[in-house]
Amino acid sequence: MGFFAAVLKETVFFFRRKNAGFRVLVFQILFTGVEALTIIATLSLGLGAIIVVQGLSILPQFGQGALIYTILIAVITRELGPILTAFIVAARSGTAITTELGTMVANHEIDAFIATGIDPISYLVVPRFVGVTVSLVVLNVYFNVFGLLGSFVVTQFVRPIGFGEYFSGLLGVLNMVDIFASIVKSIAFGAVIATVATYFGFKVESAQTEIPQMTIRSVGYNVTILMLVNAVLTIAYYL
Amino acid sequence: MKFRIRFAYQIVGVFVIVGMLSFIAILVTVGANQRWFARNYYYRSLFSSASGLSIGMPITFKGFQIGRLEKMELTAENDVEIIFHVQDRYIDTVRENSVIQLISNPLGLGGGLVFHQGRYPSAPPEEYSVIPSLDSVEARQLIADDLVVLPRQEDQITRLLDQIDPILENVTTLTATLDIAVAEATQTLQIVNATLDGSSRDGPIAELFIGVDAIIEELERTIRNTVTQADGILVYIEEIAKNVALASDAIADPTGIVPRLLDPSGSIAKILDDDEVLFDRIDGLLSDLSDVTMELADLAQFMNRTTPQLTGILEEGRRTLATGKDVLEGLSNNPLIRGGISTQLEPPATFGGFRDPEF
Amino acid sequence: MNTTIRLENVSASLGETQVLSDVSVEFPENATTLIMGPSGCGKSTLLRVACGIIPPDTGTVFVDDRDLAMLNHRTLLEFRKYSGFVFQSGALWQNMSIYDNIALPISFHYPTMTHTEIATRISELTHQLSFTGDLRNRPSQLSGGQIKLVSFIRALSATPRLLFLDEPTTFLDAQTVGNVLRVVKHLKSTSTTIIGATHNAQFASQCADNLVVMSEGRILAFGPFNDIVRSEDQAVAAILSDVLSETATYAGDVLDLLGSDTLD
Repeated sequence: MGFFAAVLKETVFFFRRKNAGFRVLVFQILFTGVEALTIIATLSLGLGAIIVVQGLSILPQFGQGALIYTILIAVITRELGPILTAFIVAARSGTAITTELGTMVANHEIDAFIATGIDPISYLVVPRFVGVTVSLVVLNVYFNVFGLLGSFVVTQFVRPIGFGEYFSGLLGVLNMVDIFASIVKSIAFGAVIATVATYFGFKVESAQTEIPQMTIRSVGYNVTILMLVNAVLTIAYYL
Repeated sequence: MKFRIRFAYQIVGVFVIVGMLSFIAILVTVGANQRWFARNYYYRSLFSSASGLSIGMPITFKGFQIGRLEKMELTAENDVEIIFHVQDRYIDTVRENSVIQLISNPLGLGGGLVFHQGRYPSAPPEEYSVIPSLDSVEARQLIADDLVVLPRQEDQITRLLDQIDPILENVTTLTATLDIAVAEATQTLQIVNATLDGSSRDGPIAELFIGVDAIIEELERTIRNTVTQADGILVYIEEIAKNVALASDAIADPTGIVPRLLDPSGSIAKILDDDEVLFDRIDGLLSDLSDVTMELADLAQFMNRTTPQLTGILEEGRRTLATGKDVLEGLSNNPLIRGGISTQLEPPATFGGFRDPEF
Repeated sequence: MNTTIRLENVSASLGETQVLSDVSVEFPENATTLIMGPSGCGKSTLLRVACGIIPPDTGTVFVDDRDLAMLNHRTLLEFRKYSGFVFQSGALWQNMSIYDNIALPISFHYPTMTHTEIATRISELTHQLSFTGDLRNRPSQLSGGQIKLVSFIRALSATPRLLFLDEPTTFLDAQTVGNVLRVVKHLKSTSTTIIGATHNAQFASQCADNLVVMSEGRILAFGPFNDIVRSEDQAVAAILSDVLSETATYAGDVLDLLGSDTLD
């Protein structure tokens, strides 16, 4: 928690001063966001397709075919979009960050930063924190775009409807609160992943053998905290 | 160096910018869809009671939602003041002298605030000015001065009965004409019969033939006369048939008719409430009419050789009336009240209609 | 800022192990103080604590008579700007090129410097220390000696007035050691405070003004080089001869090993 506060404080400073961390930020977004785009796109396309196929085969039996839009928005935008991207980023980049920082600690690279006067939190943690958070928000947007687009494409095979009809149906049930909830979740998850990953990276003391242990713990904590935060935010949404 | 490392800034830039743009696009479309960017115009109105009113209640004009009730509160004068908005695309419907009416519905179906436009085009009144409710003194005055466009009371039953009247009239005329024709024809035939079987020996044979000639001429004239009249009636009946068909359609539409049926002041209720006297009368009338037309059909068949059209028309008229009777019966047996239209054994037409109904 | 560093009753530990116990020592300004002692006696830790990388468990580190732990952000940054640290293992930033490793401290402390100025400065430094490797390489592509050299260059890149040297000469071949010696001597002449830990007799004898002798986390002796070398204390003499046994093939007079160049 103290660590998280320090990260938040340095994040505020990060945007005030132009420093070398920007390069780290760009690369963090490159590794976390751009490189995860393929897997996110595949996943969301498939997921949207599954929801449509299942929904269109079950829902019309109750005469509730129009509910498919509500389900798509609830599942893709509000729930799975943020949490699935978060899991994937935690698995890909969370582990990478923990390993990288752990190695740096073991190699005394962190000491080198301190000795140079570069604050490791502001130079190493904050760009990753911001990068992961930004990546997660952007990935979530892509997840939604691909998920809703994918479901549209599959709808064409199952029950062809017009682009306009499909999207007006979606827009009819999509409201500001859903978008807001989705973005808030992404930001919170990004913060959780980056904080946990960097924290466990720094927990390595000197031995290389600690790195895999800390990586495992980082993933475990990430998944647990993500689920907790998700539960809290979902409950908050319905309050 | 790897491509994505060398162009890291560009790739990340594209990634983030495209993401942001899609996000903004989604926001804008959602916003436009939910009319965030449209301006609303606000007006006030006073009601005597808040019962039946609720926040978010739609304001409709000719069935279109043009706005929503936003706020209501009790004033110091114990009136209920409401504030509602009208969307900017409908602001032109708001004219001076407009009134607003609360239509409540005992079953909670439909109902809502209905907007009635002022009679004469004018610029929209100032925002937050009062648009009187229909029950208020001002609104009554406006209505009395005929400054408000109130929709005609679209009562389907009244309309139907209005249309049945001329049918009855026309059928009476037709029956009367046919009566005369038949009477004359019978008379003539009697005379001919008498002459032929020698029971009439009053004149010489030449006279007889002249007499027969004259009779035949007269018969021809009479029949021709009948045919001409029947032609005129044909046009009329056709019209009536259309009207009845229209009325039947209107009645057959259950969604439109249900609220009216349930309206305690509606005409159906009246029909049903006086122990079905009126209904029975109409029903009986229509049954009689059906019989009469059947007889007419027989008659017309008799005249088949000269006027085959008449049979067709009469058959069609009879069917139309039968349908009308069905409709009325259907009304009394309306699914919401009783139980559907009873199947009726239709006697086979004596003559294939001149106008095929499917044609 | 005065670059005198003084430790008062400092104790420090790595994990569970107490490495430094109640150490009080002063590293005077504009002098070269070398710490000698057997491996694992806490030399590196003492350097890290003195530099402020590791906060002491108890005790205080003073820089210019100010508590290092209490310095405000600006003063601390100034202290970092005027100090350089050469790590035993090099501790180069693995995910940056050699060039970026050297350039980062410069661009961090001199944000107004242009890329060309930084490039000039780097080529000066590499030339001075005779580094011949490709600056675009990653640290993992370098040999141990080159890493050490780059670490040295990085420590010098921001023109320090206070230099911490943790075993600056290990892994280096004789010629490179000669280069390092030359540079350290040059730094001495430009009144740079140098605090170092070393096993190298040549380096110690040629550069040291003061000597700190450590054993098991404690200071055994501290004073001017010549005094310590001629110390009557048996423990000190034993440690010095032990430490130097890598370079001395016989347990002879320490003076023979350390004293040869001290008079020039």
